[in-house]
Amino acid sequence: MREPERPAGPPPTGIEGPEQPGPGRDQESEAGTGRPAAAGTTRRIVAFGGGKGGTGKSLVAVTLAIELVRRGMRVVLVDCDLGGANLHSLLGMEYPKETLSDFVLRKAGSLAELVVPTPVVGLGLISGARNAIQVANPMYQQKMRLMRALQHIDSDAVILDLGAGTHYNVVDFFLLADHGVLVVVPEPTSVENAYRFLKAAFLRRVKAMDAGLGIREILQDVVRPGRRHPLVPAEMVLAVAERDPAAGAAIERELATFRPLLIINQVREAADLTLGDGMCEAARRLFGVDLIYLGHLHHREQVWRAVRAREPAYFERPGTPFALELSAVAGRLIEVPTPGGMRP
Amino acid sequence: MKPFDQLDPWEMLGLDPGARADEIKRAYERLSSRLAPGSLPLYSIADKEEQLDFQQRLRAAYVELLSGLGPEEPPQDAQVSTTLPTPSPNEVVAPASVPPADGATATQPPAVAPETEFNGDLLRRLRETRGLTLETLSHRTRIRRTLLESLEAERFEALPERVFVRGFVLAVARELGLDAERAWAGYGKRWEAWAAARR
Repeated sequence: MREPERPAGPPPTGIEGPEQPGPGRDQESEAGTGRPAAAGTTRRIVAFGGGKGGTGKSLVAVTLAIELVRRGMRVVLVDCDLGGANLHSLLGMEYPKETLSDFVLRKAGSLAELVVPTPVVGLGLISGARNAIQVANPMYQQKMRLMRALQHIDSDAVILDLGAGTHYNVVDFFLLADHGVLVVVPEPTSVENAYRFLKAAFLRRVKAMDAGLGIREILQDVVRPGRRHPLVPAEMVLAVAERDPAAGAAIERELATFRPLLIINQVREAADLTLGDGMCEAARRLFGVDLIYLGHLHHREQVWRAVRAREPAYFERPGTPFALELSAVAGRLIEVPTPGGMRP
Repeated sequence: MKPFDQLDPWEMLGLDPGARADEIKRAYERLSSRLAPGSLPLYSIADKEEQLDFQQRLRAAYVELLSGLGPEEPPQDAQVSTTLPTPSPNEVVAPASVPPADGATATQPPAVAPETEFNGDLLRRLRETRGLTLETLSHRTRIRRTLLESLEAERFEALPERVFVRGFVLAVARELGLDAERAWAGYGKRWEAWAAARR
């Protein structure tokens, strides 16, 4: 996620490809939901990632999308779990014929053709690729093309459900979205993966910085002498700043505008309630990364049953404890300012 | 070098500089339990040794802030204050003879007679004769202005627990170039009297 105050300058460039991202997106900075998006654009793109599989990331993405619809927004859900798509199941749908593969493989001219209606009125779905290997590993240009197309979906919000892991394909979508949301469950493995994801994502962002600053070379120099751990973001900033103040200032800005969002899912015990704040406090002090905590969602049998029965109607029911928690999280999400003008 | 070695005590506790003593205490208690060694939020982000080190750094930040001795930061009016003469503690001037305050133009800051008992009013007059505003003193001691005001007015009910009040008096006394322990000896008696009356 990038802040609006980010100074003008070269936006992050591609890693594999020489292609420079195009000009920024349309004027788009207000955070509210009251005003509909201009025709042919979306107000914000939210990507759900977070390292470990099985954190309920997809379910959180779906239910949050439904909550935004309930608030009167037009939402399109995009299954970006390339190779492992399953959002249609959560929505009680058959596998749609049209999928993201058609766009990536250029069988479809625009994403709009691929949006299928869901049982939730106001919620569209672009289903994920079925199994095409080449689609699971799109080139950087293909990703940029997809991201640009996503911005032109006519909606108030686009929700991306990313795959598990810290592969750069996942990380890139996480970084290219307006907001990257980490979904974590109160388990050591999940916490560990979230921190690993943060490190990977920031490193990816740093590598995409202007090559003229020489930051990659500096970091390679620092990392070489057989370190046990990779550098954490705050250490990267220090290392670069020590050797080159100008590059140090640039990477410091990069870190200051790196503000992933955090949701704690499947909370079971009272002690789990402080995990989110604790992770924010730990990440701030040990990584130098400021997370934005959106809140927690309890583990609930009814939710699990609704998923198993492929019965999304439960998610739409207002007033349940689940709906109330979800509403609080959604409320905080739409309060987070949308970074403007720095996207492909 | 760990990232948290770069943080000042306020950042370590996640507070704005000048936070009240009770806020410092709450922040410390919250963080030291939530981010205790072995806690879930610290899992894998710090190894065992770092977690212990982190706990010690939290503790150190807490102690440092409570003692009223944050790390030095040049105050905005550093130049003005350094030109003022520092009073010698041995110089015998009765508190009664302290001239009326007239800000930075004061030229004869009084010292304090050995038999003089310190109190809030004396601390105020000594501050004023040194040409220090509450703001400046607040900035240097990192004690909130409203707390300093209460300290000088002896509005004990507006102040936190004894240990904090003592920390404030020591910090203020040091800043004013006074014998800190003596200042507390006098001021502390007044606090004790108030506390005893309240029981």
